[in-house]
Amino acid sequence: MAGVITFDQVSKRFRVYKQRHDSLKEAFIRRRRGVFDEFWILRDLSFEVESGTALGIIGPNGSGKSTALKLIARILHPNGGRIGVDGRVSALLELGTGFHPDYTGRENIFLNGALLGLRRDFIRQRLEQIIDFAGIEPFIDNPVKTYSSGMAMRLGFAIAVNVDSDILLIDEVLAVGDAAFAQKCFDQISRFRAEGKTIVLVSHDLDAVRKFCDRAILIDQGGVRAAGHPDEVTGRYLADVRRRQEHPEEAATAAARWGTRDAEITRAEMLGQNGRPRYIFDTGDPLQIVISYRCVRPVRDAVFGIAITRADGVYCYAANTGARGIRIGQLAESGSVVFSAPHLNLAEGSYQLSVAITDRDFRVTYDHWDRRIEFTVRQAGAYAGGIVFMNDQWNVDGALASPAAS
Amino acid sequence: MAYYELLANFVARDLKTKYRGSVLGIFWSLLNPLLLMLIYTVVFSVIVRIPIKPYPIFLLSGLVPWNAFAQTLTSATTSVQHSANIVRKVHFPLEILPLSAVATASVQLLISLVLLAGLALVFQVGIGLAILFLPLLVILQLVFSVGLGALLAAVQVFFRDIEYFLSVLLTVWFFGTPIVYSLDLVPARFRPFFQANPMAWLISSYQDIWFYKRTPALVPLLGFMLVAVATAAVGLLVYRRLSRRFAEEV
Repeated sequence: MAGVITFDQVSKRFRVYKQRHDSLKEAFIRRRRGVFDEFWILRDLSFEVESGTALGIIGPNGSGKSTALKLIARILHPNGGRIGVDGRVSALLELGTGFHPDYTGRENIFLNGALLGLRRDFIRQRLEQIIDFAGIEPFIDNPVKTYSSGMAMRLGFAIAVNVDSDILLIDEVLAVGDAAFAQKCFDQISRFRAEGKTIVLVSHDLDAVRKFCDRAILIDQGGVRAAGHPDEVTGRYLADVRRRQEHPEEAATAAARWGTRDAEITRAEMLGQNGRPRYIFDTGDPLQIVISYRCVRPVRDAVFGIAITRADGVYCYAANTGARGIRIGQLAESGSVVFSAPHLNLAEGSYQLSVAITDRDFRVTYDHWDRRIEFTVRQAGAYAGGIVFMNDQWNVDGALASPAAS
Repeated sequence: MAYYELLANFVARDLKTKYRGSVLGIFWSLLNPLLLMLIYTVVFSVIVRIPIKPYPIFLLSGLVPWNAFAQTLTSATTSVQHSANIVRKVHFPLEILPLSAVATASVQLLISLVLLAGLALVFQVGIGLAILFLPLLVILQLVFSVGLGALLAAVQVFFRDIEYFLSVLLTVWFFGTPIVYSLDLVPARFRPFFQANPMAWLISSYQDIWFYKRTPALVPLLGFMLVAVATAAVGLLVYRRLSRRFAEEV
């Protein structure tokens, strides 16, 4: 039936090139194509959109929402699972994509329409309607490069919503232009719904999701975390956001994580002297970091590592089991690895901890949590500047200088 | 499918952009082969004295299709990369990208062929009945260009130095193909090497109909036909396979 969308255990993998071998020479010499990390932006994602309904997809940045939309639009292709899309799709992924700056608005309507697979005579029929909707009639015969970005976006929206499609995909574009135009867009979308067309809306604007959608799903870390009535799902999302704000050590869970996940980090914690989780330290305190892992597939000779970065991005410290000559062999199905240091010799400041599991040559990353754990170091009195604290003492003219009486 | 209109749109856009704002417009595409003809004529019939007369017609009958071929491959190779912004955001048949590059270049080929016909009359070589083979040669050349262009365009997405490799290849290929000289000027022991080049088969067919005014020799023509169809099949197949990852790699 036209308008039905089904996702059946859909997975999508992206490659992040650390050092891309764009040249053939390098590829031949090293006999492999670039050093890249693979990560699954979507993992076994399943959902269904019934014909004539509106689905809202929400989730934190990097959760895979837009990827899901591009999969429906057939711009991307899945690495696993099955996608069924029935009917003609019109996608508003980025308004004005494919506009030619030297072409006039009118010429661009034809060019853009052709890009959407429309016939010239069909566009000619709709031309007036499109120009009228965009509200840029006086400028329609000027080159698009003379348009403001708002005008260009309005023209893009006008073209996309005046296409006869069964499915309309919208990605964060409702915040277009002024209030009057936004209202026009909303009205047009409502009309779409009234005509029984299917809509998928990806948005951070929870109000829009509540207002327009019959159902909503919350995507996080590549899978559906919640599905149901928009009020419930947006409520759940807000609760998640609030929880993260209250637990700063988890605040960055939406931040970068990548890897094949053959071995997964299930938890990473910093422990203080008493063996309890702790995220505020004094310079010189003992430090322990516990990395809990789980093996999804057998992994040999893994390397566990940590890295500390200052909040402003300065790379401060890294350590790993490989550098210490530790051969792990076959990794247990699950377990934990503990890093300990007698003194945390970092100077005062805010820091972020990264933890990772890689293979022996650091070529394959199994799981990498990039700067996902934040902690603070305080330093009473002695801080003068820099990153490290060297526990300094001073001799002035041969005599040990003692700190000023305080 | 209404996508042939997209193809027409892309070609019109490319032609317009190419010549918009230039006073002589499309005549630049004629000026270039004319200038080359003049230079090569001076070098090879006045200085080096290649014993072919009238040399300009011999030269142009090979040079015009070769230029179109080289131009087609060059623009097809970067066609996907240069359209990255739409490839990433719009779903459309991606085959259109190398196809429109080839179509754009073929418009210029047709214009140059008209020029060549004019010159054939000027130099009193005349035009024989064999000219009826011209459409077939042009079509075969385009089929070959589409196949090779699609293949290079797809690989270029993953290895950005294909385009540099191509420009070197085209230079070598040009001088390795009997265009500025004829095959019988090549020492006999090197000839098999030149005869193994499919572009030489095509160019010799062009020279047959324009310069010698005779029916193209059958073996090279059939040979090129086979190569063209095979290249198109392989090129488009590879392109289709690799195009599934264009949106994320380009």
